[in-house]
Amino acid sequence: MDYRRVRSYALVAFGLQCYASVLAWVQSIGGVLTDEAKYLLNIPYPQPPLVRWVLHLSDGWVAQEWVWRILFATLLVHAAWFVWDAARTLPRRLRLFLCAGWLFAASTVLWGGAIIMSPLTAIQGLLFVWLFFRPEWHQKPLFAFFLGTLWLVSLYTAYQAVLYMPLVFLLLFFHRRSLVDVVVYGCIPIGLVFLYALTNPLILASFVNAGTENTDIPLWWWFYFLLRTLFTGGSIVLSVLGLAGMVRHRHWGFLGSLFLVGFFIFISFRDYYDILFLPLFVGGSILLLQRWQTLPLVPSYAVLVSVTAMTVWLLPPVLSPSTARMVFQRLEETSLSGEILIQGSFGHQWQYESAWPVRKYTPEFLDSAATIICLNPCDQIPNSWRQVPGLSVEVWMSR
Amino acid sequence: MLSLILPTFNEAESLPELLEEIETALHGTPFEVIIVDDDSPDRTWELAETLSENRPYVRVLRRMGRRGLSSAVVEGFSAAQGDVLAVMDSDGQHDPALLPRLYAAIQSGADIAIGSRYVSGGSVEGWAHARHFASFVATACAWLVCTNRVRDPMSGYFAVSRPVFADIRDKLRPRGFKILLEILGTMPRRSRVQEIPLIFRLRTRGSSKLNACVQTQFFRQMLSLLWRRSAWHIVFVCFSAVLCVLLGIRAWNLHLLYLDAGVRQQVRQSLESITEGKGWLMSDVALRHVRRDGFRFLYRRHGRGEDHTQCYDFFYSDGLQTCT
Repeated sequence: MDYRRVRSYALVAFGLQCYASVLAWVQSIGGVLTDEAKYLLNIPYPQPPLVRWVLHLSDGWVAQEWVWRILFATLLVHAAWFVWDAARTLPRRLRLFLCAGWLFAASTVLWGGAIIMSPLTAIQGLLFVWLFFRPEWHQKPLFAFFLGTLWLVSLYTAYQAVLYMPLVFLLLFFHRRSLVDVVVYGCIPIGLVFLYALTNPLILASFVNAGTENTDIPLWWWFYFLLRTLFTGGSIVLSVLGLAGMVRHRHWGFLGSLFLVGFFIFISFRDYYDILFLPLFVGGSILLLQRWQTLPLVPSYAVLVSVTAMTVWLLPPVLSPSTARMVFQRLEETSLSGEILIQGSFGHQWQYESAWPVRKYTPEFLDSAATIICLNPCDQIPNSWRQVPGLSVEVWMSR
Repeated sequence: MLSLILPTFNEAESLPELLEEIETALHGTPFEVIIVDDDSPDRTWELAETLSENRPYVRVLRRMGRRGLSSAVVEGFSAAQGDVLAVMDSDGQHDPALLPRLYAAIQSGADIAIGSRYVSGGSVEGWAHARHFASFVATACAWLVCTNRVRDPMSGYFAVSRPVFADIRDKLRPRGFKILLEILGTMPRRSRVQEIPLIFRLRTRGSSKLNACVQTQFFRQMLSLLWRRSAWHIVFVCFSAVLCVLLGIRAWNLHLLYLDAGVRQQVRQSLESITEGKGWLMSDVALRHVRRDGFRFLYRRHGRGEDHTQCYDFFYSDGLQTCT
């Protein structure tokens, strides 16, 4: 291989890694959020066990959070290489634009480095899109096995991977693969993940909760939220190009997945799912640009950057340490040791940040506890407890 | 030109009459006949050489130290010079009158043309019911490994185009009697296959070579083809089966929770009461087994480092106990 080419690839990889590190650093400022804590502590809902089990293996590491933020951001950022390869029939300037779209879309900037499953699912979706643009592999004997394994891994990473089912089945039906391939590699993984869901009632309960918790939100807000995530997913420019490409080519795999992702976001009301649109928009954009072979690049870059900047400004990541982190950093400065009681509804980040066992507050537990954290005002705290000053929540320590 | 392979083993009685029938059937068609003999004790190879003296289209390959119908056919195909390669039995059960149709089918663009007993117009003469049943079972098993839908994958009477054979030659593992099955299991999917009705005649001379050893070889060939064709399917299915069993057992232990609303309500209320009383988070509790008189669960206090885990049994009559 040509030395200059190797050097240029290495420089690009280094640059991407620096960008991934910046994204991870930004996410780390706010501390671990409740959803992230669920994965870091291997709490058995709402997602399947594959990735959270791997994360949990490191929960004794002091730098666990930082290591995984860097890794998640690295995977998301370096996935741009797959965008580059998928678009290899396009002129270089268009390939660069699509990679820039992947890297600097609002969804990537907002969620790169977050220890949540939606960026991983988006990467897996991008792999399905990339395989679609590699038709020369579709008839190879190992293709269906590789696709089935990726599909199984995706489903066991996060349930939302099922939203890419139209794309997976289209890949299996391409070149008229046998019915056996479709059943073995397409349907069996879905059956297995459904079976897993039955082993954990908490998962099904969380689905029901998620589906019903937003029923008091007005209908127009639901549509507005969907439209907003559609635009932030691809920073408008990729969203428009992608949608146009999918519709123009009547690509049922992309359109089917787009519909499922849209419906899922419509009912779930979670910001971080906008990134699930991004691989579909990339795929649709490639289809469109394969026909057009041109694009007004300056306005496109301008829209990409300005929409991302505006989105980050309007919906910024958390840029101050969480209350849980502040409280426990303060408690660690004392020589305190013992159970923590928390009064009020609290997220899993409190379990994560605490070096001591955490329980829900009940007056009967006071004897065995060393600290009480009152997220709602506490009453009837005995005189043997003193309040810790200077914290945004009420914290009591035994004298 | 048609190259017809005649694998022989103790077929000295049938050979002269067979050659005459072949000459009649292929009159006007350029052809050669390659007799591949596995060093027959009845010296079929010697008779074949004598017959070839007056028949320039006949060649004889005497194989010494090698046995097996499938390998004999592959050797014959490899030595052939024609662009259409055909094989038939030498015991008189295959009618040479079908040869022009097989040849024409390949010339018209088929990749393989098969004399088929099981298409409309085809039949089998004089078999006992047991033989019919055995053939049906073997044919049904053979369908599992064929890449193309064929009614009679076990036929020993077929023609294949030379380029197709050349493509798959190195992938063939010729053993046992069923070379067509090996070819069909190795050919690409969506190959052009044509089946031509064959009336499978009763053997009038010599003795059948179908015995227990041959049947064992057939099943070994089946397994070998299945593995070569579907190894990755098998690996994936086996892994999925293991996962399915493990998850199935766990899901079954909770089936009352999903099927009985009363049990579901009882378990939910009991768990809420337990977690409230102990100050536990519901997410730290994992149900393991639900029964009518109670349930079992694991309490795992999630935190950094090693998690404390404890198993509990709850009985509606006796309350909470640690697992025995």
